[in-house]
Amino acid sequence: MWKYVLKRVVLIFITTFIILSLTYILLQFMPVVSPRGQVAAQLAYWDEQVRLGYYLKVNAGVAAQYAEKIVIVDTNDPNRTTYYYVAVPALIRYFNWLKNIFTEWNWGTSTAIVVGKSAMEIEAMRLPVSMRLNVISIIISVPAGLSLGILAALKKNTWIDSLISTVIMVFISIPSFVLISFMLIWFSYQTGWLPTFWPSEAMAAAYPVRAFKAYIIPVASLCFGSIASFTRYTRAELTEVMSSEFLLLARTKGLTKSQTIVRHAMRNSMVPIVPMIISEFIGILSGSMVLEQLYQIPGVGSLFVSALNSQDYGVLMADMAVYTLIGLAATLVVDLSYGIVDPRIRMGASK
Amino acid sequence: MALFKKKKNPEQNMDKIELEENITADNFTEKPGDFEYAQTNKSIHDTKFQTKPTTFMKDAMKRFAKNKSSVTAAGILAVIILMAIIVPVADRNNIEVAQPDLSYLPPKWFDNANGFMDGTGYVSDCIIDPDTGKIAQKLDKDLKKTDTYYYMEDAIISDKTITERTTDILTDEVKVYGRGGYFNFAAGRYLDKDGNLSRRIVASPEFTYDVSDDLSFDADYGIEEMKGLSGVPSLRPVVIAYFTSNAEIIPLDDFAVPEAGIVLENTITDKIISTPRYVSEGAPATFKARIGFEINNDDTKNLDPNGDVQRFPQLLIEKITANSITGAMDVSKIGFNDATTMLAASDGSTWKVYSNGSTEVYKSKMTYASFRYDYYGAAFGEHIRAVAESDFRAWVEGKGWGTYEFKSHPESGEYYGDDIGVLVLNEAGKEYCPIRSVISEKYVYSKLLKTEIRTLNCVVSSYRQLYQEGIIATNAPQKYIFGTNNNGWDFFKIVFSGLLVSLGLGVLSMIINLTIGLIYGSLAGYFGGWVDIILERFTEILGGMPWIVMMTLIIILIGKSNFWVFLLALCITGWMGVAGLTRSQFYRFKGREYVLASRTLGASDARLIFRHILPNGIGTIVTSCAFMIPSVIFSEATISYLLPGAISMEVTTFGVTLSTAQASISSHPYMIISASIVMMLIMISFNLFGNGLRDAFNPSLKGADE
Repeated sequence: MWKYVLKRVVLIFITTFIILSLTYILLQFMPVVSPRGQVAAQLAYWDEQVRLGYYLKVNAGVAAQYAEKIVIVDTNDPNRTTYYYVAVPALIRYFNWLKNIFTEWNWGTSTAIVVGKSAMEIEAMRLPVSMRLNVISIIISVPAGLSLGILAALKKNTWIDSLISTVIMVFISIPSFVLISFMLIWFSYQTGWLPTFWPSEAMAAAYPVRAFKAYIIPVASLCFGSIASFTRYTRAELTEVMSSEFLLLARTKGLTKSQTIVRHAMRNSMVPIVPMIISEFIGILSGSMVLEQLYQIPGVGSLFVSALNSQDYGVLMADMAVYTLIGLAATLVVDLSYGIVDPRIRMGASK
Repeated sequence: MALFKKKKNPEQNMDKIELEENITADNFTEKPGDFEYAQTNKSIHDTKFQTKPTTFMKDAMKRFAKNKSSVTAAGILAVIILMAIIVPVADRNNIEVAQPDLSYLPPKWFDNANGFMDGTGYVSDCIIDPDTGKIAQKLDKDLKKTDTYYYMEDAIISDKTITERTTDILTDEVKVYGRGGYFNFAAGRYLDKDGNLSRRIVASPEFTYDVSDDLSFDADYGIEEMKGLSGVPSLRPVVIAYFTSNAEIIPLDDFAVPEAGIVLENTITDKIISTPRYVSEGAPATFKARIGFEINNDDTKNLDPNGDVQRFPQLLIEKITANSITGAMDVSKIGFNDATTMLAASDGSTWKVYSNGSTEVYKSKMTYASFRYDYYGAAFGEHIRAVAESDFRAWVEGKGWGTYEFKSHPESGEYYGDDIGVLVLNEAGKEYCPIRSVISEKYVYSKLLKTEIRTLNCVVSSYRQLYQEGIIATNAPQKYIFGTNNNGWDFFKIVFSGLLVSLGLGVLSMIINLTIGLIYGSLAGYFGGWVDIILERFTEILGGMPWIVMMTLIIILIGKSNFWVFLLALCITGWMGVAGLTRSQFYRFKGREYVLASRTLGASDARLIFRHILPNGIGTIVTSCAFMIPSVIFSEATISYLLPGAISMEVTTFGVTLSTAQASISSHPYMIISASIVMMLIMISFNLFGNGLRDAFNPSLKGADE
């Protein structure tokens, strides 16, 4: 077991490494973007790039030989000095990038989101909001999803079941941005009950009621999807278990219906559902891109989108590293949790 | 049945042979009567099946047809797909040329439905021009009133409810249509490095000060406290003067000190600020001057965490009258009756705040009207417009729609009534001619042609004109069932044109993904071993990269984003699902006995793959394809929505349509509502359809995750 876990963890790091390396090298083919802001800040940024081994500071003569991958910074001082920076070859940049990560945990500096701040710091800054929203939505959606699923399974083929199934079908089919748009139209723009965007920290401190109300739409939109999938799986699993022979045996032994359901059916149907819940908990570290973009929530999801839109590659790499690790870790934990929930399943066991 | 008999007979013969062991091939001789033909009266051959022969596909179709919800979904899907193909061709409303007159028309389904989908809307708070009492005109860049109005007076279909409100923000509209209010300026609230408050001075426009004269100065003002002020602020009126004799302009800040200029009386009474008393020595007889106030904040003890003064007074001046006592000074520019008009003036008669401050208005009065408005009446109805003679002739005479006799002459003014001709329209003209009648004629100077041209004020029918210009599809007032967008384009057509592109993307990428996935999955699944290991690691790495990054990278790397680049981006990771599924199907079937039997008979790899294994696994794969189209539409919509900056699509997909509709969600929600409903219908139908297919192909999975 431990050998298997170790093997999987090592594999996760190798896969992450390859994915990030590929992305880094691909990003090197993108156009160079100078950081926003003052000339002094730009010069500081490029000098830092030189220190880290990505660029070389050259004079005008050398710079003239390079058509691309060259950065020209014009200063406004009386001499009108111009500085030229030329990128070193992509592969060398890649090795320097690896070196900087492993030796000083330097994932790069932001060029657009918060100019001059280190990418990992920005990532850490953005995490709490996404996490808070995800935790609240899990606290609501897991019990709600499970109980709706159980209700539907117990009342199978009645109007309650068909109602729940239909609503679930609709919610699974609707793209999240459509749902959020409708909520925004009805509850924010038309009625004015809820704020139309996420309040800033200063605003939230000044108007706590408004800050509280701002949670409703994001949490609801996060909940609907997961409630729908929890209900669907719980119903499917429970109906399957309910029709199995061991449940009939339990009834013939003399157990009441509720006893069989609670002691036998529920426990067995939880096998595929518990890993789902666990993977939700791993997922609290990642934010929903669509929701955060739509509701202007400063979380990790919108960070990814704005980094991509403003070509802030340092932040993009850091965000991708976090996302990839979370994704791979989630699959591992799900695989392992199968074995914990149901001892019959032994992951990685050979025939 | 015939098959059954044949099989049985040899077995019986075998029994016979076993029983008669002593008979061998060598000593066996056939005697008459040993064998006789069974069924000599019948010709033996295969008889036809009594039941209809069926195939796997037909069987699946039958099962699918029984599933009512899936059939309904398939029907809805078929309708939507047909509409996506037909609507862009059949709907001939122009969606290439921007038509501002038609922009943002709400959806119209019915006539006179009392507000429900009838193209009318309740307009609240439309600005009223205080000079005319009518709907205000739109403003150009120089804040001049243009010919276009916010709303057309003749399309208002209810009484106007007039409200008056005040505003503190000096927008362009307030500058032109706002009246009254106060001129507002606040005492300084930021401390400099010595701990002193920054000085705030408000000063009049420049005027020529005559030392021999005296100035009486009268201001209606009030003091508004911000956050409750303890103590009375001190208000110090000053004259800020320029001494122009030495041609040196001294900064205003310095001139506020008494020695340099003239100080008005250092006290303020309720209303009147009296005449100046002190002229500094060495001042010339006349000099350029400004008159102004300095407002001080005495409450510098209470500071907020930023180190700024928490409480500060604001001086609000309603109007100022300045009089020259002897009449030697021209002080007309100093005074104002209307603070808003004064602040909005661009001719240099504005009072300004110096020392880091801005001119602000306080409680400027704006008049608004609320009413029910017929957007379609405004867009397609008849309106009075000026038409140049050449245009008039092109419509009336060029098309042969009618006759008209011009009567006006350049030297005279405007011609009305009996002095002008009568427009006579023939049958076709009555139907199509945009010009319905003529109200007046006159000559107007054209800047473009540099000559006087004859212009006619005509009643113009908008929908006829739009039809003649090829903007709308039929010669009638349109009913846009999804409304129109900012360019005045039929949103219904836009939605379905976008959908056509997205469906095309979906179908094409499905075909490509299916081809690549089938080949890749077959190779990995059939050959197994190290081929499988290598191929699997490759998909794991490619699949591990977030698809949104992959797509963006491709689009950015290629540098443009037309249909084909987008297709490539969708296909680069899209085939992996099919590949995985095919691989698992191959693992499932390749060990089966019939495959082994076929292999023993010498079947080639290709034959095993394409004749034996693939047909068995195809059901699952076909089902996954049904889910692939909506997922492509969904991915496309999400990425166009999330990354409009990175991907400026050259073609309008459904996702682009959704994303632009989302941008105007607060002002014109009907667009995102209709587009979302279409999206919702597609998604639900595809899901139900896919579920039905899955149940039909794999009856054992029925209801597995519903």
